[in-house]
Order: sequence, then structure tokens, then C-alpha cells
Amino acid sequence: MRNIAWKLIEVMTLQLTPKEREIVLGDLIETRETAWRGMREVSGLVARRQLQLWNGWRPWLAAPGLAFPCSFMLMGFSFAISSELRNHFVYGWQLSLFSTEPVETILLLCQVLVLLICAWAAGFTIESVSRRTFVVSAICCLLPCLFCLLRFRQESLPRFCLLLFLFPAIAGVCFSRCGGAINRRRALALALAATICMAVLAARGHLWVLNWELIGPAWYLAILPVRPDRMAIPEMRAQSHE
Amino acid sequence: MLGEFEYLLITAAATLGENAYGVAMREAIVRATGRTCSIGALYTTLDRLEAKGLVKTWMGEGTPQRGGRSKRMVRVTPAGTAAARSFYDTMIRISNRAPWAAQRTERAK
Repeated sequence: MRNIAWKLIEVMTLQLTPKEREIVLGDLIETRETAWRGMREVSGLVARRQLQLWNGWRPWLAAPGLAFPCSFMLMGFSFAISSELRNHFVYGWQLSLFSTEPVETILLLCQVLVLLICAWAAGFTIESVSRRTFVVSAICCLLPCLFCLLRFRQESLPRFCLLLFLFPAIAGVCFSRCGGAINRRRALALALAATICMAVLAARGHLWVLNWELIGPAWYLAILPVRPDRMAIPEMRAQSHE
Repeated sequence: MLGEFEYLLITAAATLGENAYGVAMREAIVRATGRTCSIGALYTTLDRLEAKGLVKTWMGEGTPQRGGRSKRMVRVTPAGTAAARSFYDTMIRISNRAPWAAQRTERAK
């Protein structure tokens, strides 16, 4: 029983920095705390550390600022693209600029590009801006998905079509987590491409005005000459400090 | 000005000298106040004091009692000593004519 409790304590301390984990586990061993009291002590420290993270602007930008609204809007794009693709499959594949309706094809391509770029940039930015509160950001992203999945009533499409955006978003998160960097020129090219595609969609009335927020992460990457390690400077400092 | 718990930590660290680290400081505070001192309160307050430049902390060596795990050693800086002295002086000045302080002085006489 004590071993299980001790394992639990070790798992809980994974939320702390490696140095602090070492210190806290050492303290618990030295004072021979009971398992229950040890768990209470560690959970108290973990809770305080998590709350401290929210003193800065980064977690607020990442979770309620980006993850939550982008999730809603990107689901809209996922749905629109799925519907368009379904029409193409049902009424014949016309994905050619020289087809009878090139405008529709261009609009579809724009939507796909916006989805890919904005979801990737959002995933990358959310992970880079506030790495240590990523779980909360992920929850903020998944809650709208759950809400929409439960209310999905379109019979001609599978409900999981709403989650198309998660693939590029997860790719962006993984890229950032692996220490990937994006140089300013590429970031600028991505931001411009997303903006042009959005403008095309807006000109054809295919865009809700709030969707413009989606290009925020792409421009954030383009304007700030950032790498994930640079973006996370305050957190990294705090970690090394601890 | 320091907070009450900050003052307790600095005083405990200053009293323990070279042996000031997490567990020893917690024990000193519990002995002096009769209240429990959680690990969370201790280390978050230490971080705050270190950020203010009032203490300096570093990783000490592990001991067999700790399963070989490191300690967080603490040393009070001159700024920390000055802040603690200022807090102490203020407490003495403001308590000077308080009834409980007068009773204590009479008992001492």
C-alpha cells in the first residue's frame, strides 16, 4: 500500500521541475512522512506552482486567448471543407483550375490552406508560448470539440469531420515540443499566405468576421523573431531558478 | 516590508547558518510557532525571497537519510538581514506600549 502511495507521490512530483522534484522527494524521505501526508504536501506544492504560472500573460494568451476560440473557428473550417469535398465526391471530382467552376475550387483550396496554416501555427504558438500549462490549453481546445460533437446533426457527414483541424494542430505542437524553429522569412510567408486566402474567402462572403483571429498565431510567429526556446524565456528562467 | 512568514523563514535560515535547508527550517518554524509549515508554503516563499534578493539558495549534497537526494540549501543575504532587522525593529517599536508587551516586561522584572 505504501509502495503504491509512494509511486503516486512520484507521479505527482513529475509536475515539478527536476530539481524541485529531487528536493521535495528528499524532504519527504528525511521527515518520514506518512503516504497520505506526503501526498497532501506534494499536491499543495504542485497546486501553488500551477497557480503561479497563471500570474503571467502567456497561459492566458495560450488557453482562453487562442486554444478556445481557434478550436471553434477551425471546426467551422473543417466542416466547410468536409462538406465541399463531399459535394465533389458526390457530384464528380472537379479539383482543377480549368474546370467549369474554378472559383469554387480556388475557394476550397483557400479553405484548406487556411485550415492547415492556421491550425499548425496555433498549435505551434500555444505550445511555445506556455509549455507548462499545455494541459489546460489542450482542455480549452477539446471542450468546444466535445460540445460540437455532441450537437452534431449532419447525417451526410461523419461527426469526426469536425476534428480535421486537429491533425495540423497536433503537428504544430509536436514540432514545437521537439524544439523545432521557424525562421522569420518562412513565418512571414505562411502568415501572408493565410491572410491572402482569408481575404479571398472574405471577398466571396465565405468568412465570418471573427475568423480573422485565426491568422493571429501566424502573424505572431512572423512579427516576433521567435524560436520556441526564446518564446519560453520567462518560464525557462523560472524553471532553472527553481 | 517583509511578511510574517517571510520573516520566520529568514530568521530560521539565519539561526541555522550553514545547516539551513528545507527540512531543518520547517522544523525550526514548527518548534517556534507550534504551527505546521507545508512544503508548498516553504518553497514558494523561498522563491519569492530569492527573487527579492533576500536569500540565496543552491542545491546541496544528498545524504543517506534523504535516500541520496539533494537538499535546497539557504543563506540569508545582507539585504535579507537588513530587511529582517527592519521588520524586527518595527515590531518592537509598535509593540512597545501594547498591554501584552507591558505584562511581559513586568513578568521579566
